[in-house]
Amino acid sequence: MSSKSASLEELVKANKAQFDRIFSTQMGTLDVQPGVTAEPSETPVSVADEGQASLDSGIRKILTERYGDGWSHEIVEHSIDGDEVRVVCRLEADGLTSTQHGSARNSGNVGIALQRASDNALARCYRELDPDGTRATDSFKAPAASTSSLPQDDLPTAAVRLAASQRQRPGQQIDTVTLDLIENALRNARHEMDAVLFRSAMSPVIREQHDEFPMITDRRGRMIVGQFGSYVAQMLREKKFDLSPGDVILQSDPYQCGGAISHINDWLVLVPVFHQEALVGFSSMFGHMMDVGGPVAGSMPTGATTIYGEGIRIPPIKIFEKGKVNQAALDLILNNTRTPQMNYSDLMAIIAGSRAGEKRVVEICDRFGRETYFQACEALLDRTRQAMKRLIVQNLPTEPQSFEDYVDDDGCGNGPFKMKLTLWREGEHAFFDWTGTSDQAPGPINFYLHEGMFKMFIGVYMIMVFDPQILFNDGFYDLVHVTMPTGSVLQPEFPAALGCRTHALARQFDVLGGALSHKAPELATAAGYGSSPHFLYSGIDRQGTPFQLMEILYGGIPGRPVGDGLDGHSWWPLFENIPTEYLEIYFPLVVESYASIRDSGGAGQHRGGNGVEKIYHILEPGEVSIHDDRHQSQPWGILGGKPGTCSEKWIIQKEAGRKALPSKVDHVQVYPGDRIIFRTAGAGGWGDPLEREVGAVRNDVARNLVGVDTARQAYGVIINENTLEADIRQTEELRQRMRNNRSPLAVFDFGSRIGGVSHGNGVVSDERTPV
Amino acid sequence: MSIRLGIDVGGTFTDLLLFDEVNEVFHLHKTPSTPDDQSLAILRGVGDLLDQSKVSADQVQSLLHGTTVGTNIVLEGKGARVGLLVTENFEQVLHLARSQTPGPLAGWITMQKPDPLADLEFTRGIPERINARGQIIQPLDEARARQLIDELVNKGAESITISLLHGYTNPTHERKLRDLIAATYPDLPVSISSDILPEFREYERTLVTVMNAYIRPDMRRYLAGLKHKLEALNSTPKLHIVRSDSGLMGIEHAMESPVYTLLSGPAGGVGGAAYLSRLAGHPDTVGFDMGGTSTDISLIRNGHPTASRQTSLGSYPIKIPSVEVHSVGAGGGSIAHVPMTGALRVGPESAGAVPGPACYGKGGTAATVTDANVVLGRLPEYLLGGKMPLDIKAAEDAVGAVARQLDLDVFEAAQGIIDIVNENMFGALRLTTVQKGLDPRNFGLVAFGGAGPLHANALAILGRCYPVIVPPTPGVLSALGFLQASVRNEATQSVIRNLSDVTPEELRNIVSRLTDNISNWLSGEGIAVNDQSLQHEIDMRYLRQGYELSLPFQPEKINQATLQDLDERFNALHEQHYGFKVNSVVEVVNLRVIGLGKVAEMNPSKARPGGADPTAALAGERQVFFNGASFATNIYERNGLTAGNEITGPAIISQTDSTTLIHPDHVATVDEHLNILIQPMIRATETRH
Repeated sequence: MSSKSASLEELVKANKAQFDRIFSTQMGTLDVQPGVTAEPSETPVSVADEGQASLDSGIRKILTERYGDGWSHEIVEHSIDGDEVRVVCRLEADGLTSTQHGSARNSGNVGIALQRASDNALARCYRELDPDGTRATDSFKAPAASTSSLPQDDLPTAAVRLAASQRQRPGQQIDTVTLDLIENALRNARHEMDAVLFRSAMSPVIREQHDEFPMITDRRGRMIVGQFGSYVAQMLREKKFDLSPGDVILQSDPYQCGGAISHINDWLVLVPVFHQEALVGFSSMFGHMMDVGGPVAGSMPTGATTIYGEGIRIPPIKIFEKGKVNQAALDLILNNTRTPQMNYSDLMAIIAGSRAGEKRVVEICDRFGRETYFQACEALLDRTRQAMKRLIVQNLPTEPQSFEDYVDDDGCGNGPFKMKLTLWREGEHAFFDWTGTSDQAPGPINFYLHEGMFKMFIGVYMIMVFDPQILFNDGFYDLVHVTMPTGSVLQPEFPAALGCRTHALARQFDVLGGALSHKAPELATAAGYGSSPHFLYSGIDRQGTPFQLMEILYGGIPGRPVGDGLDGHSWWPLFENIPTEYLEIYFPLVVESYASIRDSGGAGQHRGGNGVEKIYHILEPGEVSIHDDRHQSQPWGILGGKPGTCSEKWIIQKEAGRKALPSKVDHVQVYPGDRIIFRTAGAGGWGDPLEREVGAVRNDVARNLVGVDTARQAYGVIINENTLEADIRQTEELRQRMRNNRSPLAVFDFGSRIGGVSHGNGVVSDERTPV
Repeated sequence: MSIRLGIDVGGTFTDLLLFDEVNEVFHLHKTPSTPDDQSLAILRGVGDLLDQSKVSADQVQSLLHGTTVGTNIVLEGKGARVGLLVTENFEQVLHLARSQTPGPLAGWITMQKPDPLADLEFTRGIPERINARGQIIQPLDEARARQLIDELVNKGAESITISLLHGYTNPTHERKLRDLIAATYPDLPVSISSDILPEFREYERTLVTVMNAYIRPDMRRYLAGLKHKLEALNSTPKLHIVRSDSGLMGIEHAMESPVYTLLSGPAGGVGGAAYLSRLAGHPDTVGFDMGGTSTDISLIRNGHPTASRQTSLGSYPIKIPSVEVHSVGAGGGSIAHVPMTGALRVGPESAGAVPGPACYGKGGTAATVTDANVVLGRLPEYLLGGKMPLDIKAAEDAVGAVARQLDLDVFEAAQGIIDIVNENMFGALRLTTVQKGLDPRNFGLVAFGGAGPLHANALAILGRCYPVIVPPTPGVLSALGFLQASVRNEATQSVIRNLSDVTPEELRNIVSRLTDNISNWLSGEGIAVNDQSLQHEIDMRYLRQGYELSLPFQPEKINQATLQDLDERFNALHEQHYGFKVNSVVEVVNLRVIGLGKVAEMNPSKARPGGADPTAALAGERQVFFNGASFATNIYERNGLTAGNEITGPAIISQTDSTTLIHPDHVATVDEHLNILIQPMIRATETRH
């Protein structure tokens, strides 16, 4: 994360001001409170005052006047007792030494108190040495070469130990620095888990796109490091295991872990961690498998209506027992995938990664002590809890705030599906209520949302701008109360199909962001391409070798407080695109074009990112699947920003010509010479387009990201098509005219929206035919 | 008489190290850098050093120069206006990049992404297409290409990059375009991807080639200017530039392909560390280079730096042959702060050189790692050999402010800051070894950089990496590395075929072409054929795996049986690295020939061992805090130490460019090359028996 804390703070304020302005003009009735600053309300530190006081000390000046550079001193010993700091200080001057004690009151700055105490001691030493010779006695004189006037056998280990309690906080057993050290060690452990996995996984989904997630929990199964919150307690409640060192549990059934993994492609590995026979926690990872059987390559059939139709579902089993592999189970599982070698390698990589986490936790227990580690786990959980308390009070409204958005369809002809979230706080408790969300879909777009995972999303979303280095964990769970109606898209009942849940997963963030934006302006961003667009292509090539491609495409990143949304980037962290050269080496296709789509990002002071267009030229007969969304409901703009354009997919066949494809479809038969055009959605813009810097609009035009017409119509910027230069005078005039003539800006501009009411007054993009 | 001069230009100082082979002595000189024109400090430094060492300018036979000119151009965004020619419909290759946004979740909200080094406005798509097998499926439209080239030149492009899809496997179109440009614009520098990085993955290949074009005009100006100025001094040494892989290349090559020099500074340091590891008789070590803003961890195996083909500069991933270095944002200037969660965080923000740590008295008020060291008594009161006083009170105030937020006393907070920065660096050290399936306990630790020797003992305690080796001049290890470097280059060709499908003949043909390239290149560097040595590597992986493992092989012995042997060796290596092997097809990804040209041996004289008593070097004593306890600690002058001296910890060893800290229960010995070797007391006792 960038180190822009100061500018971020300014930005939060500016953003909040803008918010308030629009709210007060547009939605005057809503609960709008004056901006809450993002600055933690620490007591101000008065370094200057204390520093000034300590400078007043005269003894050092006297010593220098007397001895020039010929004196030195050191603090031999110090102790802090409540308000009082005591030191033993040794002064050397002109070949003489004296050692005396001194004390000072500690008014908050121990360093300064120590200095005052040593000044106090030095003054005594000075009197002791008695430069005027009136009180000098031999007993106080010692040669300077002697190392110290303390007894020799106390050195060098005669160190004065600080009271252990000094580093501890009230109510916390572990000292704060040890806690930070263990936190760092755990963070390193997590990176190591990733490193081990990436280096040895085989499928591009894990390796190139990083679709995998590590976690370390405490012995009670609560997540200490990780991303998604813990599922361990729930998992082990569903099925009891007698756990031993060397055991590895594998599972892939979303219905047996409360939705911690939300489709059967994710294989989850759980390794109990033992330190000298005692269970100290769990190390776990899950990753997306290329194929887990079922009727469609890639195992995410868009037509599935139950989870039985999606592929093999592994209940929690011991795939290793005391270090010995359960070969029968492994054979059975691998026999049910189209990509057994890849799955085997990926599974072994996930196990190796989990084992790396296990090893590190054991080392931490060895290094700091097991009890200390347990205390650290508790303290880390508590640290997050305390931080979240403040964030909840700071960022959540006391009046319920609702926001809703839509998933277009379920791939089986049903939809749209509403996702509605209402949030508020009562004291330091937060309430998130999904009541009003559509019933579960017959098709596979249901997103079985794990409650812990959703809490984690909320927490990460809220905290990341304040302490991006924090190890986020389960500590705050009791502060957040989530309501999810059973039988809804978010809590489907067994055996609902779950394979294509990425659309609702993405929409969840749009809804969460929209609902939070009222009170958390630093998070107020527009909506993005809102899906995880998949392109799958499989078949058997001329040599008789089966091939199977699964590629995730990206789209417009929303306009943001810090700047423009990126064109064609991933909203999910760390995912990467697949190089065209890689695709063409391994799969029978030629990519004819890969570029972002001009004008697909919504206009705004900070422009929404453009979606991408990729054109695949098919070289071998096969089948194509497509998963996408946002082809009916535009990604909305915010604070005056315009919505981005929808997604669309086409097939161009030699005989039949160009034909629109649905946004979720399997079994599209393709033949050599066919072309698939995949266009992902753009993103909404942030802020008033008429406030966008003219130079930025000019550059967008020169880079072919925004058209000359859009520059004029949406931004009020007149650009000469040939010279690519903006006409400042004409632009000013046009912008003034546009300001005078337009209706007031909306907080949200939803554009065209199927199934819902459009609250916006934005430009609606060209008509689209729902498929 | 053979005299070589190594010059390392850093942000603050330019280090010059001269080795006089006849007298087997080194001469060192440090002079403030001149960032606007690095050659000014070099010229001044060379003049001073020659005076000091009584060597005349014309006696300097070769000059080995590590430069940050290219790095600075990239980091400051001040390079040439690059015109980029790519395959039509792929103009946004740099703009879309790899589509990645950072973690954690919602990391995109605050992500800052620099504009591409070649602006989209200066990018043109050329109608042409080559497929993955190198076949031309759409011929190059030369007329259109000429038009587009004219357009770019008229817009003001100063340097051109050509990077076409699959150009690594068939460079015909790239070369045709290059010739078209040369015909009309003979003075316009052109960089083509099939020359710079003939490997697949278009984004990475294009980026490296663009980076070359971006820094090339300025590097050419700089290098030509330097050569010219040296000639004016009556000095005409063979001028070598240090590459990122710690090898050397002549300035003609450096002017053509300056991208290979981007990380020459850190590479020199690691090269120096490797040299020292060999000298000290501990060939397996971790290089620990701790500076002001960051720490570089490197791995030295069998006396040589580990090579990497994937590194990064700023936010750009760059695929150039380089010394493998893992950087972490932890250094002496790293700032300690307490966010709302109440945790103590150290870095990655740094106080940098300006304002610097609070104790430097240059206006810095934030508590840094250096300030924490001052509070704990671990630094002398003056740095740079007495030239720079430290403001102890300012350090205490700065750390005191952090301490209050944590409810700690100032010493506890200082210890906490040090512990945390050490833990961060230890994480990098672990990652560096563990990724390769290695155990850090089997490695020593070479400490260098301004702050390395101060933290090395603590890091060794965490990783159990012994001995800690502190070279005589830890602050100028890069320059030492340059002096022992060889001329080096490598040629790589992407193949991407199943091992079972390639024939021995095919491999031999490719290798023989690569060998010719490299051999000619070395000859061009003035390396006689007898002084050339070649290494051959084959990068392999399981089918479609993301990362390759490199295996050495002998091309003259390639036959069906040795191919089978490669398969087995790959499986064994995979198992060593990752703990398992897969029953899968193995594919060949790259073939590589590495050429080395020995410049000269360096045999510095050894010091005659003296007694164990270091008292002659004793300069004083002070109280130093270790883990919350205060110890009376001797201070020694490094200059006064002689071979054979033994120093019991705790102790501070002070020298101009660094401070070495020896922890309690550790003992240091001075070897015959005047390295300090730190061992834990128990282990030292064991080895003596």
